[in-house]
Amino acid sequence: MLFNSIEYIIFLPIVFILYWFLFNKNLLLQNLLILASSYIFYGWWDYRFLSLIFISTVIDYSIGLSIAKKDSKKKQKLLVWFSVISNLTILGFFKYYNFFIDSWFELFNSIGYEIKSIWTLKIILPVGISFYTFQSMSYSIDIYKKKLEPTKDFISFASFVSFFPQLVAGPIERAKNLIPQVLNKREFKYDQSVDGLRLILWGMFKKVVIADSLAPMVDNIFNNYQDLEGGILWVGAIYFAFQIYCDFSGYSDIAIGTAKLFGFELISNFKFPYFSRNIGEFWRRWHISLSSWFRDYLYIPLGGSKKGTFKSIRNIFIIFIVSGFWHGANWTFIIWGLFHSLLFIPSFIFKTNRNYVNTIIAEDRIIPEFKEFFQVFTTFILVVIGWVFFRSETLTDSFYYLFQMFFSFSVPSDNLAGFLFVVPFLILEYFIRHKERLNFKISENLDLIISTLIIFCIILFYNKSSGFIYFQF
Amino acid sequence: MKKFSLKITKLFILTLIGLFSAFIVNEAMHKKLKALSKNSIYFYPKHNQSIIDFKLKQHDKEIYILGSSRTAGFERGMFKNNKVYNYSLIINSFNDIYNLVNRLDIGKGDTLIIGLDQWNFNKSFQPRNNNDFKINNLSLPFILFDPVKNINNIYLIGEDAIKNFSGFRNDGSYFYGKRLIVPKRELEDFNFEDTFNRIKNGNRRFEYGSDVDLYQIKVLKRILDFCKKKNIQVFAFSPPFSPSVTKKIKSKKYDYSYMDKSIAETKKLFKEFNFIYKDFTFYDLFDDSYYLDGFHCNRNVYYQILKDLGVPTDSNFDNQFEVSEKELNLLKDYFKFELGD
Repeated sequence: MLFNSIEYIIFLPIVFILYWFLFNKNLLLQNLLILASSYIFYGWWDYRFLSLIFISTVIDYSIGLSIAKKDSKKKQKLLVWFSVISNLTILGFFKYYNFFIDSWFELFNSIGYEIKSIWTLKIILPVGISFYTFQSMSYSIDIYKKKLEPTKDFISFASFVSFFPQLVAGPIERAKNLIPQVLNKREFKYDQSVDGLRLILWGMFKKVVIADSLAPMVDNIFNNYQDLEGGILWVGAIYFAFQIYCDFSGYSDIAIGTAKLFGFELISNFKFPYFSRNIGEFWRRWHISLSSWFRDYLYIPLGGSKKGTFKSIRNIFIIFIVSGFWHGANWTFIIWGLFHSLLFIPSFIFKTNRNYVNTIIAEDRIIPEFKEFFQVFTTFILVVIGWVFFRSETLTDSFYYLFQMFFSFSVPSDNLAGFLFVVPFLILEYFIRHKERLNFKISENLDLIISTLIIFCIILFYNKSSGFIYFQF
Repeated sequence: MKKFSLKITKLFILTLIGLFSAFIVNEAMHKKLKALSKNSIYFYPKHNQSIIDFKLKQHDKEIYILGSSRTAGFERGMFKNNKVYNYSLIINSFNDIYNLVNRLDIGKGDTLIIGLDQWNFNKSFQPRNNNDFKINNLSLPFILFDPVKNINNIYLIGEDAIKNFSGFRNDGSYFYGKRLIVPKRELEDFNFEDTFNRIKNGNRRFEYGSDVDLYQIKVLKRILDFCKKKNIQVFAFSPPFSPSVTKKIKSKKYDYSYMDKSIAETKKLFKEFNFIYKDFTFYDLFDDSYYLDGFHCNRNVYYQILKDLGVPTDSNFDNQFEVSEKELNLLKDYFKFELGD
């Protein structure tokens, strides 16, 4: 089920009413309702793949309990590896099997052996598989690392793995944040629900009005780039930067907002990434739940930055490339990851990557300093270049596209309508940059008027055939 | 909870009131626009809609035309059976055609006409996009109810219809009215200069190549397989180039040998399936004046292609050079211009 579908508009109020009006006195029933709703939500797309979520849930639930029972570190390690391998096998088969097979055959073909691949399978990529396998796996790892006690409550654990607001496109939740919330009684809080509603509407606005309006322009430019001038290709790449941001952060806002309606607080996923002053800051503001996942479960176990410069740089390369590969079985994503690692490493070497950890552009001012503006602009341009790899169908396409961007540049005179969406949105984002959760204190009436206007815009721009980009990952 | 429920109710009521007002205003505006359009040209660019979305809403057809801009000239009036729709200009590749054939409601006894652009077989033509479908914008008014029927009553649709007098006719075909409005020398491919440049530089779909991309043959086979199983009649063709462009392509200076090889492969494949395929790559029945540019022919050529393919045609088709009397009158109604240059 898509957040921006009619089905969801019917589904959400039904679950909300049952949750707060019928089952509000019984935690077990509330959790059962969450579990059942989550399975309906996912099964609406394809019920057959519910089995994968169930398998992942059963494996990590059992492993979590088993690790806690074992005294021997060696046995615990064996169990945690079992969890990691099982989850990665599910993910690897459904997401990467054909990529490896095809790459292998392409390699043979490129050196002159014409071999036909009979191993390629018709595999459907289960929606959200990269998200829930990571979430489930982190539970076992946290128990192994003694950061978390295992839960005996299977219903609560299954609800945590399949929690519908964030099941298919994140934020990738941590067990130590979400499981305690599932295990404890939730109280309805007016302010939390109003914030949730606001986030849902804002997320929907970003998706339906901004991202979906930019989508045809982006498709048009990327599909016909061989016939277009470099200036227009820059415009296309900038539009894509905002399309993917509004699409994905919109989804996250709806997920966080929906969770709030049920009394849950999810972790943040985006914090105005295009106002970042360097690449390090960008990665602390973009898809935070994934980058922090890789930091905690890959970068740090590999030694992080504590084992000398050479190993640190190696680790940076690894997490960026793996992060790129996580997005999809295509070389374009891998090169996108590599490109970002190359941008990140200089700031790591010169120790500027940890600048601006707790501040945002124009922290105590209305307008940014020139230096900040310049930093934000250059960071944004670099990120936009990276998006060309991410958006292109093939690596060849991306290199052709970039080549034309730089070497056939001319000032664009058409395809500029998208800036009517981009510029006002950017200005709006700038003014709300301190309140990523939109928890403003405004009058009831003003809130009502703004909400109604947003709903109008959503209805006017609504396009029922549009899906979320991150579903494919 | 009571306070929250009250807030939701207020929001709901406000939205309903707003929607009702919007509906009233929109309907009034729509009526006014319809009157302005004189049932001929719809030009109010209020709401962007992708061409694919619009075209996919066209149902109950018996003849389906699929291809790039090079199949966009087949008009409903050319066919004996008028249950025809031209789905051209929403695809980029053979994969797209396959996806579209799967998506459209084509069934037993229906006819599929597909244009097989030569460059799609070229192994050296790398920037071949395999998106679901090509997505372009078609600026259409925002109509709340029955937009397909409303728009199909109009002869020419889209923002371009007024800007350039070039746009989609209500049968999905594309009308290049701009050529009749602006002086010929202002056209992009005046004297086929742009096409010649492509050939000279070996770029923008005219990449040189001697190898056939066998994967494309495989995709084509998949399309034919699908049609065979569904009992769909297939007519396919390689679209023509203008004679002077043909001459360049054939010259020894440039290597386009993949074309002949791919045509041979395609013929073999169609024979295997017992479907009709004709190669019009080098079509010598018409001179350069019958071409809009180096690789887009005019309506006379399109009509002849149908005849040569053996598709039943309407002998009364108003087969006037470049533009019909009806379209000429429309042009005169909307623009002050002198024909010819």
